[in-house]
Amino acid sequence: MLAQQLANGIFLGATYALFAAGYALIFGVLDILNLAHASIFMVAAFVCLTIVLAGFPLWLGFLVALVVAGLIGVILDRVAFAPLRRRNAGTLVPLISSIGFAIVVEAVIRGIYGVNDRQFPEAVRTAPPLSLGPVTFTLFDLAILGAALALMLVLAYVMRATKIGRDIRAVAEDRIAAALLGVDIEKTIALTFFIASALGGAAGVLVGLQYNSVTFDMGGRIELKGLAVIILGGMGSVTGAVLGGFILGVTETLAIVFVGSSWRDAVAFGVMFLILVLRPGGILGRRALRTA
Amino acid sequence: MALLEIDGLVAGYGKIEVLHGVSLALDEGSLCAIVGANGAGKTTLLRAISAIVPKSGGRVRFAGSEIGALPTHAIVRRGLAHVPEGRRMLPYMTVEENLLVASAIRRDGRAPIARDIATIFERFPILGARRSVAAGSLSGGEQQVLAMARAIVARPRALLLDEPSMGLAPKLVAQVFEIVREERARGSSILLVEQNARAALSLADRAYVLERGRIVLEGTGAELLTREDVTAAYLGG
Ligand SMILES: Nc1ncnc2c1ncn2[C@@H]1O[C@H](COP(=O)(O)OP(=O)(O)OP(=O)(O)O)[C@@H](O)[C@H]1O
Ligand SMILES: [Mg+2]
Repeated sequence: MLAQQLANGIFLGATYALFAAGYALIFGVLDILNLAHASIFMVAAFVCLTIVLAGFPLWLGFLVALVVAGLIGVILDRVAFAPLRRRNAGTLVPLISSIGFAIVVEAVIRGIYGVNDRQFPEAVRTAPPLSLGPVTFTLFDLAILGAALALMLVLAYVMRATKIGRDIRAVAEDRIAAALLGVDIEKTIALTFFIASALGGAAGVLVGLQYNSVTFDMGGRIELKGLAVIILGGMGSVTGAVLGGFILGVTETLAIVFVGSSWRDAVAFGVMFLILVLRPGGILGRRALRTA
Repeated sequence: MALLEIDGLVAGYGKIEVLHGVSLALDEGSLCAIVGANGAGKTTLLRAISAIVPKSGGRVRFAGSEIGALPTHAIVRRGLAHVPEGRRMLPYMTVEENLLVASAIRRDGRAPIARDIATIFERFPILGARRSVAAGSLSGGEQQVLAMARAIVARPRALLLDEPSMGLAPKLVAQVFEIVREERARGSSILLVEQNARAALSLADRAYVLERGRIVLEGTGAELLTREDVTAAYLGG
């Protein structure tokens, strides 16, 4: 029972972690909260759903959704953040403009798809059950976990070992120093938005598949959790956000067993609150993005 | 024609004008020193050349073309490296990563860059020994050497150095000036801002005195060293 719930927590936590990794990446580089992240998460789920309903394979829908999400992220930066950056508008105004962008995106999706819950075809989700000792799950659960972990590993590799990753970290650490070393700041920020939004979009597709429910307001349910998780991880620390995502997933599923499902969010946020009381800087503190 | 030519440069912060029409020239292969009191605008001048501070007037020409409208990274990629005041490390990145970021503007491929980084580690053993350490954990002197090494590894056509000896112990000051001398001997063109005016002037082919945002005096380094008013004001008598 406990092992099963731990496993469920890890399946759930992986998508939280993926969502939060993108959220934290943008915060780490720009010191702004991108409150449109959850709307891109939602759009990507619809993109994938639409492609699958048109008869194409799921993997194709997933990849296209990732790219579309990344491109929307780049547009988001151009529309909502770049003009403010040029005017040195600080960190609060971009918060508002990102909310504005999210509202527009949600209105568009609502206009196209309506307010009803949409489902993937059952055939997409049917998969043989597997068991590992006392834990049972399906191949489909495993594929979602695998996709989330693979994307996080790719992110870690890009950040550590490639020129793009070094440029992003350089801009995060000191924008002027980076520019003086020849880094194109605006291009690097656009790439950051592409990567972060593609990760957020991937999380949207995976969550839509996990619950088999895609709705125009599905972003709202994860937005606050994502925010809590990046604070828990240490604002701007991508590794911390990933750890925070798993902690939240496991806490939620354990809360369901030991306290009752109506207490799930209260317990999860209570545990996060306690961790932050003990470690106000978050699990890893700001520093970790820089090395991860 | 000079490699770097600045003509009537006006710049400042917001409404505050700091530079009121500065003109100077840096010849290819020469070292040009700028001295002046605290707050005269020396840092602002270098920042305006590199487009960190916006220019509101004047022209900047580098290697035969106008660079006044280019963004910072494009200016650096043309071959104008700027070692800023305060060294500005990428503090959580390693020494080697700092050099990799700086060398990424080169177009000659990975192998020559790797060779140059290896050469840098031989030339500056304090960096070689700490290549995998976070740059922010280096001492002030080591950080200054790394800041200069970052510029050198980019193979620039000209170097802007903003008070490279600031805040360093005398032994390290000597080492920093040794690097400046070596770079000059290799044929680099250098624009050097220094509070250590005597050392700067004695190296300089040409020198300018900046006072409250204006060039008030210019001449060869040797000429300014013999001027009593200059020595009294900037060399402590
Ligand atoms: N970021 C800024 N915002 C507003 N004013 C500034 C800023 N930086 C510098 N100044 C002002 O511009 C003037 C010139 O400063 P600058 O740093 O260029 O002088 P400096 O010659 O480099 O001095 P130092 O020898 O102390 O480095 C000073 O009056 C300073 O107060
Ligand atoms: Mg200065």
